[in-house]
Amino acid sequence: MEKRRNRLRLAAAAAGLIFAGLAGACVPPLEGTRLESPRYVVAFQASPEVGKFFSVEIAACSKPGNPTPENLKVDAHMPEHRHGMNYAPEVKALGPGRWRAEGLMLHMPGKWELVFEIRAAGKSDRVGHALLLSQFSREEIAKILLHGPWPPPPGRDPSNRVSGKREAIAFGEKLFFEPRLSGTGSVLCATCHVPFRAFQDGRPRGFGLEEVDRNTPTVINTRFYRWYGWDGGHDSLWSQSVRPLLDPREMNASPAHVAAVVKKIFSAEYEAAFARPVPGEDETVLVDAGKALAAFQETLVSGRTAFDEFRDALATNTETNYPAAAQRGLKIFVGKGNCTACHFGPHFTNGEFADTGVPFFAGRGRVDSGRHEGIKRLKADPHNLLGRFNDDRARATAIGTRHVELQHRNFGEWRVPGLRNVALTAPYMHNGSLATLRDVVKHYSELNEERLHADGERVLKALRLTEAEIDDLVVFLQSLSPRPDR
Amino acid sequence: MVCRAFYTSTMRSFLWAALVLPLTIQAQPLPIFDAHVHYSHDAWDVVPVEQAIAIMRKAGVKRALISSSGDDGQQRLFTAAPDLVIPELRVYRTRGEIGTWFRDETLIPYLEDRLSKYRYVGIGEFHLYGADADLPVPRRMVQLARKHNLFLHAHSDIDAVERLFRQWPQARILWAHAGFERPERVAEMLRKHKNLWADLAFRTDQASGGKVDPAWRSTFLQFPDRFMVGTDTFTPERWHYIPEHAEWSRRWLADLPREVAERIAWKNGETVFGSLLQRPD
Repeated sequence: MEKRRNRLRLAAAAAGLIFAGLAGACVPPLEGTRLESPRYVVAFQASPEVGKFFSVEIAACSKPGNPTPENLKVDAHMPEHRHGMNYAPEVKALGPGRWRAEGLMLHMPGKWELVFEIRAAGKSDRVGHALLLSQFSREEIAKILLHGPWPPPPGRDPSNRVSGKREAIAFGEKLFFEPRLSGTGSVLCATCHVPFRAFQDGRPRGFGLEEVDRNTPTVINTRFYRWYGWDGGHDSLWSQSVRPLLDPREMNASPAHVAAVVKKIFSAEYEAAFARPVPGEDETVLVDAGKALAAFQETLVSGRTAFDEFRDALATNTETNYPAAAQRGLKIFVGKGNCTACHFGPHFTNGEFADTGVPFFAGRGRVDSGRHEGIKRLKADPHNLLGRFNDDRARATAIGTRHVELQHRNFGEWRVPGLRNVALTAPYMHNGSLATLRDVVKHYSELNEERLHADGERVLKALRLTEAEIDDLVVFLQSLSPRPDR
Repeated sequence: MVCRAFYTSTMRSFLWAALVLPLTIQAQPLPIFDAHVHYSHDAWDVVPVEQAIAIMRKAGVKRALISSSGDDGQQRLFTAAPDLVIPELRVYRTRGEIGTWFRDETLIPYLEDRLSKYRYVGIGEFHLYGADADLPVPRRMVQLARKHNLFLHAHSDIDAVERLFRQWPQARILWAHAGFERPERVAEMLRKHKNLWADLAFRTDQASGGKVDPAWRSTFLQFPDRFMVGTDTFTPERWHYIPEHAEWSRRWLADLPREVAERIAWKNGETVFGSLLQRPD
């Protein structure tokens, strides 16, 4: 907003210079937005927000040969609504050519026109300035702008030497759709990460060779993650990609099996990607398969959304046709819902973990402790970023792994998922226990605070939303998925 | 010769015992007195009594100070394992009363009824902050504790703890989570109040990577008789964290002098609460 105001000031200053340079113009004694009538030049400063009283600083000067302004009136109206304000502002003279108008309030968002009427010698000049008034406060706009721009600039993963390499992406794509990588020859990555289901499976819990305890997350946008898996048990996309290959419930392969498949079927692709023949050590081949799979998955980035169009328009104060319900939902999201406390930034996630009161029994007498177990697995993982397979010699990528520490609160915490594409990835939560976006919103609306520690995350309070507010929040969340034409 | 051989053999045995026995004792997992366990209504079905007791025994919990939102669950545990369970009376009939109990007049008859029927060592854990401690319901609760000679297990800030002591200067208070205060402030409070003990439930700041934080070490060494460990099973799932928590506690306690570690691990709980249950009515 400040930037915008500065821009306005710069524009006004530039306009002032132009006016000053024009024959017959004058320069009013105030920096601000400049308007011109046949007889006068008006400058004003105002920062209106919907539903808030504000004042307008005004200056006017007369062009050569015209009488000095005697008094001035200020008003505002909505041309499309055919109504004005509910309040009559008072204009106070501050000195020659200077006024302040007080008591203005624009009581609804939309298109307004701020009108100045300058009177002198029995005649009046009228100049207007169009305002597109957002329903969002400055603080809300600042939060909204942080959710973009989208997509972020491309980058490569320093821990993976084939990240971004065309040959590795092609090799990874072949591996992603290769059932022979699994121990049984029957399961492929795409069994659970189904392309036409936004690279997840639509099931509450994943099912490779057996049902697992957790919901299958999408692999779209994973290139931007810090931690992988619901429990953050992995610190790179490539080490995460190795995990399901070896899990007996998912693909049930062994390092030797994966290495044999690569040697037998993909030796040319491997050599093109890694610029060397397939090495003899099975573990290295396994990890390299993970790195090729990661290179492919890094290319899966969600498209622009209706929200992105709105966000960018908000940044430039221009109009879009973003639905009113989505705007109301967004206002809850950044406002009283305080959803941005965890779901912030272009990816709509802080990339960390939280206990949001979702039960985490995985079966009778068995819990899935989430982040707590994840940190233990991460620390013990020979493929973590502290290990020999990290291609980032400086180990700058390993800072999180080096410093993360187990805490009691980690028991039952889960990764805060990004919300891009969220409408396409039902069901929700770590165990797929909530079927629809509406169920998720209701979970937070009716949050069981008893499940949260009294000294835990204070942000989490039952939102107690009305049915209409729940609908609006759902419409907003739906707007985070790509438009069909993108 | 025989004598000499006997002497040599005896000395060898003695030396062996002197060397090996402490190691053997050392190798035994440190018993744990878990001073912060809840067995609330939502746990009763998903963690049945038998399983709850098995979890504690497997974790090496020697005894546990247990309260339930809905006191029946805790009574069932006590009946099934009186050697293991030390009951305290929670002021919540459901966990949802955490933020409302201190203004709820109906609570007092509930407490009076339970106190007339069952034996407890304390009232708590209750959540009480600042001036709320001086409201009529908490005052009446303190009077009941006084009448029945019971500990107060307070999840409170310093202000509320001070107010409780002002109401009943002879009160004995177990300060839940050591008030989530810094060790220096905890030490100040322990120095000021001889009848204040602290449980360390849901805190991890006292140790990192098995090494005790220097400020906490100083506090533990100054007040070795005043601390206890606790899991805080505030959701049913957390019953399955009791073994993990016991192991974690043993790891950081091993960084303290053995006697101090034993006191914090179990002796303080045993000394303070173990005897209370034996007293005649």
